[in-house]
Amino acid sequence: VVAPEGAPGGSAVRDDELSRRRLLAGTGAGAVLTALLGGCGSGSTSKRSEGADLYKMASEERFADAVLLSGALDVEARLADVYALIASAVTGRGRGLVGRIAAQERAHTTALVKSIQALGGQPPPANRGAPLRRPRSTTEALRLASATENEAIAFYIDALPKLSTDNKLRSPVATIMTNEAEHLALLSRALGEPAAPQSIVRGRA
Amino acid sequence: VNAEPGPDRRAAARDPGRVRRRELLTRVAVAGGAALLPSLVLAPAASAGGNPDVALIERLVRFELAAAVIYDALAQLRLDAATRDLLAMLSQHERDHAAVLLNAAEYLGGAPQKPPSLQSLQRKSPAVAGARTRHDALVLAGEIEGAQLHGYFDAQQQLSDTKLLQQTATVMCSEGQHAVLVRTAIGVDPIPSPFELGAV
Repeated sequence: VVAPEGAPGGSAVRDDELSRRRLLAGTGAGAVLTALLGGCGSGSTSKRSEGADLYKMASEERFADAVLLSGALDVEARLADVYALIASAVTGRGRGLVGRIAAQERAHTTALVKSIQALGGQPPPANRGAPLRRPRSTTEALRLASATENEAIAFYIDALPKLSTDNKLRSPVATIMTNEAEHLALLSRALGEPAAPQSIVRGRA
Repeated sequence: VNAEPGPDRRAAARDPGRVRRRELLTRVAVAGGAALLPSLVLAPAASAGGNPDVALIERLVRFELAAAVIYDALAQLRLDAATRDLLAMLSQHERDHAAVLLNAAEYLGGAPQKPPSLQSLQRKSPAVAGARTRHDALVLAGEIEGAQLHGYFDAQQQLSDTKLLQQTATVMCSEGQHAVLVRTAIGVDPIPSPFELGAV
């Protein structure tokens, strides 16, 4: 299992084998097993073999998706840390904005955790990356948030095509990515800069 | 314009995995953008050389081009400078999106797309034909952005080509930023949900 490129810290799931066992033991994986093998009739060897192959493929895709979502959890943890750090540094109307965005980041985290669990996995502890330096001004604080949102967008754009189509996670994850782009627009405006300076938003890793 | 979260949005806010295509189609149909969507986004497209990715991208390109034409027309209304500038920027961005996506579609065998005429859009959408005020223009802009976001949301699950997935993702992010600007101009919450589904 390879952690997604651009994931802060790189190792979204640090103990691959342990995580894999947890994933395969999950009730979601069991449901897949039941569904795939249940339709195999009274069980010729070839049918059983086909079912086992399908199960293996499905579980591997679910595991890979869970790893990618774990990388997204790292990204969201980083964002949460940034907003917690800068909350006291930002004054005026920007403070309300920071609080609002932070709440949305928490909602992302909750959804990602549930999605990993629905895949039969256990979310690993977040890799929070390098320690953050406390900003000395509102501008510095907003720039830190802006840079981290850019990293998040770049991560999600990189991760989206790697999610399997079977688990139908791409579109829901895209809603989180787009929300990060919206945060970036509001942060830019708070900095007195154009909110949507480019027609193609790639983020910056 | 509805800033209040509906049942679908609340469900999605709890868990984005719960979002279903049918719910989204219902939401878009309820939005004013429904006047545009049936013919421009949701109508089945002729598959370009049998490649469903190309057919989907061509459909998105047609909507981008239509949006640009509508924004150009709206910018001609009697508006304050800020609103006119916003509409002009949205128009330019939509043309950029169309160019980027069309380039990718052509690479895969898609055909070049021509922008629709304003008259044809006015015939299809009473909202386009009847826009007179700043409020009309911004509400219509909100509906267009919401419809586009929905289109890209849907595309993420349907596309298979990695490059197209990433390009549509970058455009979806841009549409989200447009939605923020339009919502702000209208005076509603710019980020009503942590999960951007396209309703404005």
